[in-house]
Amino acid sequence: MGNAEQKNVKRKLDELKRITGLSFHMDLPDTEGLSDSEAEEAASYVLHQLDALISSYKETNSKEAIYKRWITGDIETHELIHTAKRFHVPLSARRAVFLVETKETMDSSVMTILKHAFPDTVHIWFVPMSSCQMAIVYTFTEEPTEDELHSTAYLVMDLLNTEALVRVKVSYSAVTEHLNQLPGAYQEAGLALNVGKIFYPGQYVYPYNKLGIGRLIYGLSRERCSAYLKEVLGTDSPDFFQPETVHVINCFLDNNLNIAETTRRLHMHRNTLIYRLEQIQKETGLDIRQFHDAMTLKTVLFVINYMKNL
Amino acid sequence: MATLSLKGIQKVYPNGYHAVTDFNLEIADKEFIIFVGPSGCGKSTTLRMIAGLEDISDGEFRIDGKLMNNIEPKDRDIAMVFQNYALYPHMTVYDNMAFSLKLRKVPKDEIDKKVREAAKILDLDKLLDRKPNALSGGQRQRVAMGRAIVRNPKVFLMDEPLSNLDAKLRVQMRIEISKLHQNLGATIIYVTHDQTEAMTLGTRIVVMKDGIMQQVDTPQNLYDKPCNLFVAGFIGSPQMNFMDAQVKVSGNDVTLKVGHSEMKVPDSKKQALIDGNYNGKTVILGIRPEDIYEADDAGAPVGLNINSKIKFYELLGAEVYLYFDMEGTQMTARVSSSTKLKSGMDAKFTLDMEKIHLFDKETEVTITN
Repeated sequence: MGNAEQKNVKRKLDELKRITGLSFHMDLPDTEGLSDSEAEEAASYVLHQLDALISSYKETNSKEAIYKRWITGDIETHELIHTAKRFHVPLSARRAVFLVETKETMDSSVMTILKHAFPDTVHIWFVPMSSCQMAIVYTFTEEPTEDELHSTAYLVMDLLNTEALVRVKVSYSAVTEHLNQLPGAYQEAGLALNVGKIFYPGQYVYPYNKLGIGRLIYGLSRERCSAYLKEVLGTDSPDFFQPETVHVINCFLDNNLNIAETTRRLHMHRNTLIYRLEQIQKETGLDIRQFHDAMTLKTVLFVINYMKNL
Repeated sequence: MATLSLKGIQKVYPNGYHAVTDFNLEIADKEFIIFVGPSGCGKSTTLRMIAGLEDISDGEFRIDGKLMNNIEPKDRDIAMVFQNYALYPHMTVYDNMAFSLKLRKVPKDEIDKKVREAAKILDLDKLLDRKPNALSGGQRQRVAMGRAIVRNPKVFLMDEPLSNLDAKLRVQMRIEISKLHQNLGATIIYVTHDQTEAMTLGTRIVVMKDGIMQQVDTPQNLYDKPCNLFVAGFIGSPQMNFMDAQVKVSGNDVTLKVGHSEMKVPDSKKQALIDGNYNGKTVILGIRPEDIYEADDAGAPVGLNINSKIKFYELLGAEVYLYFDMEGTQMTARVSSSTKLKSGMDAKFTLDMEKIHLFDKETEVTITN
């Protein structure tokens, strides 16, 4: 191995030592008797292996990678404590996880914009979780109010809408007290995002504690949902709920079962609406002019909507 | 700038919820259009469909004749200013405004030209070296506007941009935005729930409720000729007074009976009641607070006189709101602050019958416009 290659290998070994804190020694292969091209090939092989080792170590031990492991819980307690110490991160602090999801693949501008808008890298960490999802771990110096959490989520959304011109949904978790609670917070934010997208598609920000009935229905198995629909409607694949019918039902429920208000909103004659409601009763057995039946049908619509997303 | 065309626009979410229904609007170049309505009426959803931040379920949206339904937001040549604006705290005003252009790799000299032009329009040219924490709330909001202006878009979309500001600043910024519209000659679509903002800023206003466009008109026409009960109640502060009235047609005379009071309908209004076959039916009578006068006021018109007792008196400086009962309905009158009337006093009011509005009780549509 020539001098240049030997210098290169030493440089790589030094880099390994710097990033891992461990000393490495390598017995370089004897290249005596090899042709120049063979010696060059051997040196290139060694350098390639060292590069792979360095990038693999960086991949699993970079700040971003460790944050990701803290968030996903893919880390042992002793390693969590060790890495927290290494990055000077206190174990106890008030942190919430905000989960940002873009409709299209996130380009680098999203991260750039967020990092410039929230430059406090000590208290705010941006962790890409997938091509369309990013977790933001936000450390609060004081206990944040519900309004503060909500407005932070809105701030992120409005910022990305106006500056990056991307479609985005944001959910957030409750405030945690310890670093080892981050996986729970991440799951909570993930649940809020998934439930929100299915049950409240007209919203853009989903708080962990405003999931309503969606929280109950989300996670039910297809079998349970089918059984419920069979119990109520006699079938688990009702073809009766066409968009127009669902619109009439939603309108009637939104207007507190008030015929006059619903007819005004639907620009429909009173008799037409009553006829439609009777048709719904004929098909479903539910008279939604009665509170109990209205509530049942609302739940049925939730379940049907959920099953579409299973 | 640009013309916009929205035809039959619908937004239906996968769960069947109709957020916007059959929205039709043609927006001319340089118009300042306001979407106004109560929370959940679909105004922001419509704006987001125009921005491309929401899919359009049905209908056609065009900018300058080009179909935009499936065009990504960044390719629509629009700029947005929303309620929450996060300035980049470690960047100067100049860099804040230049940042999005830098990301798009616009040449430096072009960025410089655009930023300085925008700063001049917004009166920020002396603050370009400052950082956000050295700016007032109004100046920060202007920087947020500047970030939109430097994009030189065809259309500006603003969603409640002033709602985070205090009342005084909001008035100041309202004037700034109005000036901005004049200076830029821009097409602006502006969402607000604040009817004062709507009335003062818009060249035309779109009033929305339950995802449905109720009326599109100039501010003056909306105020003078509301198309239905909702618009009449939503536009104007204090809001229009409403009460049930029974119509009685006898020959060529039409009267309205409110409780025990009977009032003659002026010629300008009665034909619609006769033609609409309202004899014997109950309609809703509306009258704005400024169309109720103290009976002994020199400027009071000839109209229906009513006696009542003042329940509350509210002085607002140049004017006074008087609250009283009329046949069981709470009414508000807006009178001059020179009035001698106070809470608890007996008062005689005159309703200017030429200014009354009548609405069909069932459909809530205006009868007399």
